[in-house]
Amino acid sequence: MNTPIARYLGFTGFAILVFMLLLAILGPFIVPYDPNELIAPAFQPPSWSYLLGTNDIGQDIFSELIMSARVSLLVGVVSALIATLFGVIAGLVAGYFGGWAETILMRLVDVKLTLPFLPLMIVVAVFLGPGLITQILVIALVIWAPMARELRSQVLTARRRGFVEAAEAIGAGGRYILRRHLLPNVTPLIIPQFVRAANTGILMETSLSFLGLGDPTVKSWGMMLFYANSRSAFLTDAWLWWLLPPGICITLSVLSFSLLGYALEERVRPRLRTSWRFGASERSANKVRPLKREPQEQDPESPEPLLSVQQLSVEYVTANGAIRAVDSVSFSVRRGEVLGIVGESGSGKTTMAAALMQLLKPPGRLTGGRMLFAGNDLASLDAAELKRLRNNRIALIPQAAMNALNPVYTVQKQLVEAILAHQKIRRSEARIRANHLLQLVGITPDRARAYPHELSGGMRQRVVIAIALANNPSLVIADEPTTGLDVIVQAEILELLTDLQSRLELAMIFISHDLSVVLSVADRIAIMLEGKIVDQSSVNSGVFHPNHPYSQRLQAALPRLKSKHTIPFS
Amino acid sequence: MSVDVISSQGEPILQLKEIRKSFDRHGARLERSMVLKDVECFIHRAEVVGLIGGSGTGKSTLARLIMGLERQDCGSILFEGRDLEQVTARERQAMRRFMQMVFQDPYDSLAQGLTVEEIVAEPLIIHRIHRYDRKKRRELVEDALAEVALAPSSLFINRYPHELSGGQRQRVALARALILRPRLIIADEPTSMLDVSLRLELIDLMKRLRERHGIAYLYITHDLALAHRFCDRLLVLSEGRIVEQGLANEVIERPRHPYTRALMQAAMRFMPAIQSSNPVELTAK
Repeated sequence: MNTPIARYLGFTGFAILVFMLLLAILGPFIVPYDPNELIAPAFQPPSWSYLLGTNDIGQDIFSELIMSARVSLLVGVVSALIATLFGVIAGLVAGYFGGWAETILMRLVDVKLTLPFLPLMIVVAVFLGPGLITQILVIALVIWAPMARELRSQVLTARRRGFVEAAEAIGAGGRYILRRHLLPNVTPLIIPQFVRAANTGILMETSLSFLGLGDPTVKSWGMMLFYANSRSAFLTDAWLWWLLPPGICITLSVLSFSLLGYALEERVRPRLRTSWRFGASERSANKVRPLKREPQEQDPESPEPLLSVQQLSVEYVTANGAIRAVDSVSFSVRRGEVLGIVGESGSGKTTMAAALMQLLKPPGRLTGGRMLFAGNDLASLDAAELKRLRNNRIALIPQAAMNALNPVYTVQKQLVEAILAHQKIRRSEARIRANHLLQLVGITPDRARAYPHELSGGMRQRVVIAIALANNPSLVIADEPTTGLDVIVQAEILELLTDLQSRLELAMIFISHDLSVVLSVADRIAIMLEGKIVDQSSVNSGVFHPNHPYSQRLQAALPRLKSKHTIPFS
Repeated sequence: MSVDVISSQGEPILQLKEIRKSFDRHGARLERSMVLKDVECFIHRAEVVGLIGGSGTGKSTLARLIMGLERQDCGSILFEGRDLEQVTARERQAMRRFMQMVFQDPYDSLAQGLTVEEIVAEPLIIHRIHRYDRKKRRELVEDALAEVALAPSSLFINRYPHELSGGQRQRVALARALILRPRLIIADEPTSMLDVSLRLELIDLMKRLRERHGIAYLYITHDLALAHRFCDRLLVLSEGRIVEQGLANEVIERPRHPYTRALMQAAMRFMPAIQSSNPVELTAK
C-alpha cells in the first residue's frame, strides 16, 4: 500500500517511463528520416518538415533524438540489470555464508565505495576503449557495490528469522535456503534498487558519452550532447533545438525512474509512510464531548468510584477503514481496589490503558465515551492539566518496563527528576525521598547510585515501580508489569506490588494476558475479548465465577500443579 | 505407557555428553560467558523429558546445539548411539530426518509468503522425499494436518500463516515437524507465545501424538504446571548446569535443589485458585 502522494508520484513516473520506452521501441517506425542521412541544409531551425531542425551537417535532429532513446535506455537498463545481478549474488553470498567470502566481497565493496566514481569510470573506460559493451560493463561495475552492501545487511537480519532457522533445523542446505527463503525475502528490496540503478545508469551513460567515451558508431542522448558541444552548437542559435531536447529527454527519464523508485521504496519501507499520514496532530480529535469540570478532590469515604469509565471506544484508522480496538467498554475502580483486566493478545487491553493515560498515538483515536477520574473527564483536560495528573494522581507501569529507564543516569537521579517534576521541594529532600522509595521497593540505598545496566531485570522493574509511586498516585495502571521476567523474579515483583498496593491503599488496574497472575492479585476481574468486556466478576481468594463461555474456557485452562496419580515405586 | 517402563528401555534415543558452550561477550574474545557447563543427559524412546529453568539458563542454547544450529565447544551429542560430529555430512542429513524441532514463536517460524501446504511439505522437499510426486506429497501434508487436528485439511491447505491464529500456526509448525515421522521432537517453549487457553490444547495434542507414534520429546519450558502435566522426567537447568533431575512427580513433589524449590514457589504463587478448588491435590512440600 502506498500513500496517495506516493501513488500519484509513482504513477507519473510510470507514465513518463512508458512513454519513453514506447518512443524507443517504436522509434524506427515513427522517425520521418534516417538519422544518419544528410537530408537538408545545415542548421535549419525547427519547422513542420524538420520538427527539431537540423544539425551542422544537415541531419534531422528529431529522428536522431528518437533513435538515441533506444541506446540511452538500453545502456541504462542493461547495466542496471547486470549490476543488480552481481549486487544480489554478492549480497546473498556474503550475508548468508559469511566467512572468507564475506570478507573478500565486502572489502571489495568498501574499496569501490571509497573511490570517486567518475575518475574511476573514465580510467576504466579509457583503458578498455570506447564501445557499447564496455560502457555497459563500466557502469555496472560502478553501481553494483552499494546494492551488495544493502542486500547483505538485509540477508543478515533475514537469516536470523525463525523460518530460516526452522528450515536449517529440518536439514536444509545453504543453496536451498538462499533460493527458497532469503531471495524471496529480499526481492521486494531488489526492485526499487534496480530502478534506482537504471536511473544512475542513464546518467552515467550520458556522462561517459559526453566525455567522448561512448561508442562512436551508435547515437545516444549523451553522444548528441557530445557532438553538439564539440561541433560548435553554442556558436549559433542551434543549441536551442540541438542541445535542449536531449537534455530534456535525459531529465525526464531520470525523473521517471526516480519517481517510480520512490513509490516502490515506500512500499517496502513502511516507515517512510508514517511521516506523511500521521504528521498532523490529532490531539484535537481526541477531545470528545468535553464536560464541564467540577472542582476535584472528593471525600475519600464517598461511595463514588475513583475512576469510572463509560462506553469508552477507541478506533485505529487504517488504509482499509477504521478498526475498533476498544468497543464501548465500561467499568469502574474504587479507592484501594485492584481491578484485573484479562485478555489475549490483540484484545485491546493495552490500547485501553493508553486511552486512560491519554497516551493514544495516531492512528489510534478516541471515538466515544467518558473517563471520569475523581470527577474529572480525562479527555477534556488540556496539556498542562494532563501533565499534572499523569504520574501524580495516575501512574503507569508500562509494558516491558525494564527498558523504560534512561541508561545514562543513575536510578537515584531518575527518581529525583520524577519527584521534582511534580513537587516543589529541594533537591536534597528529593534525594532523601528517592532513597526512601527505593527502600520501599526493596532496593538498598547502596544501589541508589547504580546505572540501569548494572541492575538485573527484576531490580530495574522495582525501580520503575518506585518511579510510578514517586508522587503518591491514587491510581496505578500496571500493564503486563511482569511479562518477560524470569518466573522467579515475576513472583517476587507480584509480591511487591500486592504488598505496596495494600500498604499504600492504592487503586490499581492490573492488565495481563495471564489469568492466573491476575487472579492472584485482583479484587475484581474483567475479561476482555475483541475490544469488549465480556465478563466481570469479583474474586474471592483467587476464585472467580465465570459467566461468559469464553471466561469459562479461560478458567478451565488454568495451570494445575498437582500430581497426576500416585505411581508406586519400589 | 507408565513412566517406569519407559525409563527401563535400552539405548537412549538422544544422549548428551559433557556439553560445553560459551559465547563471545560483545565480540571480546577474552571475555567469554559459559552458557552450558558440562551438561549430560539422555532421552529414551517415546519418553517426554522436560527441561525447565528460568530465562537465561541456557535452555534454548541446548536445543540449538542438538538441532545443529550452533556447535558446542566440546562434548558430544549422540542420536541413536551415533555421534553427530563423527558421521559424514550425508549421514548427518539422513539422521536429521528423525529429529525435528518446534520453535517458540509461531509468528516467526513460518515463512510469510508460503501456503500451509508449502510450509508443511518443506521437510519432504528438503529431504527429497517423493521428489517428483506432488500428489503423494499433498496426501502426506493432509495426513499431517489431520494429526494436529487442523481438519478438514482443505480448509487450511491453501491459506497463508497470517490468516491463522497463533494456536493454529503452532499446530502447522507441529505438522511440519511430524511429516517426516520423527522419533524425537525438540519443542522449545512451544506454548509460551500462545494465549493461555490454547496452551493446554497444544500440550494434550503433543501427548496424543506420543501415544500414537511413540515420539520422544525434549520439552523446554519455564512453566512447571505444563511440564508436570506433560513430562515423564524433568531436568532442571540453572546457570548452565543441570542441578536436579528425576521423575516429574518426584521433582515436583520433593524438589531437592534450592533453585527447583524457588521455581516451585514462584509457580505456586499463581495458583491460589487451584489451592482452594482442589486443596487435596496440591502436593508440593
